[in-house]
This record gives sequence, structure tokens and C-alpha cells, in this order.
Amino acid sequence: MCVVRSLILIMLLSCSPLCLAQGLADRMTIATLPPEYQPHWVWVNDIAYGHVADGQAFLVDADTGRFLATLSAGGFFMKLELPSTRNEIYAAATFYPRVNRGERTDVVTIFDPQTLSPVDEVIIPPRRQTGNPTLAHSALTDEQRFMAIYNMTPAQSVSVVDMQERKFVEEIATPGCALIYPTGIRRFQMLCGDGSLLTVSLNEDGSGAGQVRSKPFFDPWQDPVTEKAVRINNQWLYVSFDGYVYPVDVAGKEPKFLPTWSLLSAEDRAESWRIGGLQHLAVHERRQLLFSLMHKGGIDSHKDPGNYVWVYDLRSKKRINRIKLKGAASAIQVTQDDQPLLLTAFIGNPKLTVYDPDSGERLRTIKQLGSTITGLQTN
Amino acid sequence: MKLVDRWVERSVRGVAQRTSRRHFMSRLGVLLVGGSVLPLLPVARSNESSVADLPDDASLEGTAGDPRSCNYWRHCAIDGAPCSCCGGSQTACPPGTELSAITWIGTCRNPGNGKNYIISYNDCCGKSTCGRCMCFRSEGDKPIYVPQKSNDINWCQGTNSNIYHCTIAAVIGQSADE
Repeated sequence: MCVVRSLILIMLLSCSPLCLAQGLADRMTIATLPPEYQPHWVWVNDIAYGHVADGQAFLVDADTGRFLATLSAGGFFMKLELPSTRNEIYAAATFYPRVNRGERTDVVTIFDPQTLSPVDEVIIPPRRQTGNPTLAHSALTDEQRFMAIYNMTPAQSVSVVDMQERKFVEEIATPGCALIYPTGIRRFQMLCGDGSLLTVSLNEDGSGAGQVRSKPFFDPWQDPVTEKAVRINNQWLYVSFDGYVYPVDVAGKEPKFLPTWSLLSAEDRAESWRIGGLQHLAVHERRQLLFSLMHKGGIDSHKDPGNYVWVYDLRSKKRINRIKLKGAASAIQVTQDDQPLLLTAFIGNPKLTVYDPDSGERLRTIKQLGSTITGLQTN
Repeated sequence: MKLVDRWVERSVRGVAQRTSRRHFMSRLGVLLVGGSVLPLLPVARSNESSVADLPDDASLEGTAGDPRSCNYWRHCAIDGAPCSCCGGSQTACPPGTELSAITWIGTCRNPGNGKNYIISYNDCCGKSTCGRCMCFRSEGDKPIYVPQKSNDINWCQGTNSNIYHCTIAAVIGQSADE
């Protein structure tokens, strides 16, 4: 009997799943992204409002609808920095050792674009301003060496990080002025509470070289410009609550204020059309187009979602298209290639919708993207 | 714009624009410490207001008197989760959270007596977002570069943790031109 039992046991072992699987097993791997990103790959930024310690960015192919990868950015995630001169991605974020408690550490994390894994970090002063994200909470200067991060405690300042050396340079006090709009090599401007611009210049090592405050160019109490300005070449386009465009030429050391123009006709105003949203503007540089998210609403609706995107030719300053969206949007973006796509998302519904910006046709919808989409970025 | 409202705005804005960061913080520290003696900031005045003079929510019709509703009269400029839905009230942070002393202000009209009141929207901090009864009204809201009137800013500042949980809506005074 003992021999029979042994034979049965040997037979059972020889037929075990492990044995059967020999020669047929899958090889398990970890996917990587290719060195070159495609023009229609889109970053979908999610502050994760319900649990802000865990902000994320999702990389999505807007052509196929394929979800490509996740970048785990950290607490109070605002936006990514996507340098073209270095194979790196940066994100400023806030961390606590016990998720929501403990000693606060703010860092700029450097990510590998092929794995979206962190490869290094630079610790910055724990003072970055947090809240609803904009694309102006941090920026790279034009030569892409220095990253500036806006701070508020409520005192206002900017942290400068040398991304080439991966080291914190210094904190520059900018009393009365907020956010960061790059304007040149080692130079950026900030919006100030009196309606002026502060131009901040950096030395070659990234330390503060000087500040120049412009005269006020709008009235923040009567009709403020939103923080969601867009840059096209050497112009920043600031747009006011009432739909006036304030173009600022930043080619020189000091800003040059160009004539304002209106997104709205008298008829549009009579019908209560307004700008609005968390990221309500986008541009296509080669085509010289401005895209503006629009809705009908009352005063103080400057952050309401829109259901139309109006398209303007920046050369003629005329509206050339009105795209009716298939659903509400709080953020819009446009890819910068020759066959651009218009992208929209609404913070209250975690999906990305892709439109043809010429025909206005909805091409596809990519669902299940995090929880609270705050912004869209293209490479 | 109401006079007291403008006065508070101008004073805060003026200080921020005229002074360096370090100077601003040192002065703010003095103001906060001195608040118990000199009623200069909304922070100080909130402790000195007379509860008996506050408008009666119970007499209001509909949801204008319900602190859990987005229509609650004090919520005219809120952007976030009212703490009344999160275990606190319109004047109390939920258990275990931390009240931020630094805040932004709005001016809301009480529909019962038609008077305007200055509302301090202090954030309660240290736990993940409550997320209940999310309310977004933004009356009088200004961009981030006008911080004292911006509801886009996380006002969990000067607290042990800057993680936002919910927002209270405390009356800190009546508008002076009433």
C-alpha cells in the first residue's frame, strides 16, 4: 500500500499546475513609454479633491482613447513642467509623512518620462500656494533651466530651483504679486493686486537680479483679468471677467501693453455670454487661434463651466467658429500639431472629450480618468 | 462695495503690496498677538461680536436659513464643503480639525432684515476633504492675485497641516453703510 500511495502522490505532483504550465507561462514585465511622445498624447491633471495628498496626472492618447500611464505627483498637485530640452518631467507638490499630518515638506520631483517614476527631488521652502490649480502656479523660464514656484503664507514669494543642477537657489519676496508667467530667458512676470505686472529677472545662477513693477493695466475691482492667461509666441493674453483681451508683449525686458479687444459683441453681451472655467483659454500657435470657453451667465460666473468654445483668429481678432460642446467643460486645451485636437474636461465628471476644432465634431470620449480633473496639458 | 469691506480689503492689500515678506510676517504676527487688545483684523473682531445681535436664521424662509444648504445666506461667496455638513456648524470646525485663523471675506445680504454682513470663510484643516454639500457661489470672488477676496486659495495657512477639510461662514460684522 505504501508503494501505491507513493506512486499516486508522484502522479499528482507530476500533474500539478506548476508542472503543466512549464513552457507555456507568460513573461511578466513592466511597460515603458517610448522616448518620443506623440502630439496627441494629453496630460489630464487631477488634484484628487477628495484626498488632495494624492494628486495625479494621467497620460492619454487622444487619437485612440488609450490610457497610457499614471504619474503620481503628490499633495496639492497643480501642473507638470514639460521641458523640451531635457528628458525629464517636473511637478511641485506638498507631502506629509503621515499623509495628512506631520512635518510638511514641499518638493519639486523629477520624473522619468518613460516610466513616470521619480528619479530625484529638490526640497523647496514649505510655502507653495495651494488651492484650485492653475497653469501659472509654477513655470520654467524660457531657457528651461530654472523652475519658479509661487508661494503664499499669506506673504507672497517665489521659490527658484535650478533644474540643471537639481538644487534650490533661493526664495524671492514678491509682495503684492502672484503667480508666474515666463517672459524670456531667466525672466518671468507676476500679476499684482493693483492691476500691474511685476517683472522678475534672475542672475545666471538663478538668484534674483531685480524687479520692475509696471503701471496698472486693468482695474482689479471693476473688471479683473483671470489668472488663466495663455501665451502665444512673445505675447501673453490676459482675459477679463467681462471678456476683454489684454495682450502683453513680453519680447523686451519690460512688458508692452497692446490694444485691448473684446471677445464679445454688443449682441453677445446682451445675451449674457461670458467667459468662465478653471482653464478657459487655449491657443494654437501656428494657426494663431484663440479658443475661449463660454457660457451664458450672470456676474460672478467667471468660474462656471462652459458649453461652447468660441474660436478667434488672433490676426483679425474676429470670431471664426462657435463649437457647441456635448457636455459642460471647465478646462480646455488644444494640441499644437498641424491636425490639432480640441480637448475638454469637466471637474465634476472624470472624462476627457476630444473634438475636431474645425468641424466641432465630437470624436471620442475617454472615461474613468481619476476623480476631479482640473487641467489639461499637451506635450 | 461696502465701506468696511473695502477698508479691510484695502488695509490687507496695502500691507501686502508695500512690505517685504519678512516684514509682512512680523507685522502680521504683531497684529495677531495684539488682536485681543486692538480690534484691527477680522480675526480679532470675530471674538468680540455680540451673538445677540446676529440675524436669526430660524426666521428665514426656505433653505436661506439652513446652514447645510448651498442657498444658506452666509454662503454667498463660498467655494468648498460647508462644515455644517461635516460634523461642525457655520461657526464651528468639525471634531479633530484645526481652525485656520487666516482667511478671506465676503459680503452677504441677509434676506430677513435686508442688511449686509461681512462673512469670514475660515477653513478647517488637517483631514482630507469632507466633500459633502459641495457649494460653489463666488459672489464677489476675485482672482488669486487679490488674495483676501479669492475663494480659489486654500486658506489652511499657519496651521499644523494645510490639508483642507471644510469651510465655516462666520459673521464678523455688519457692513458700515447699512
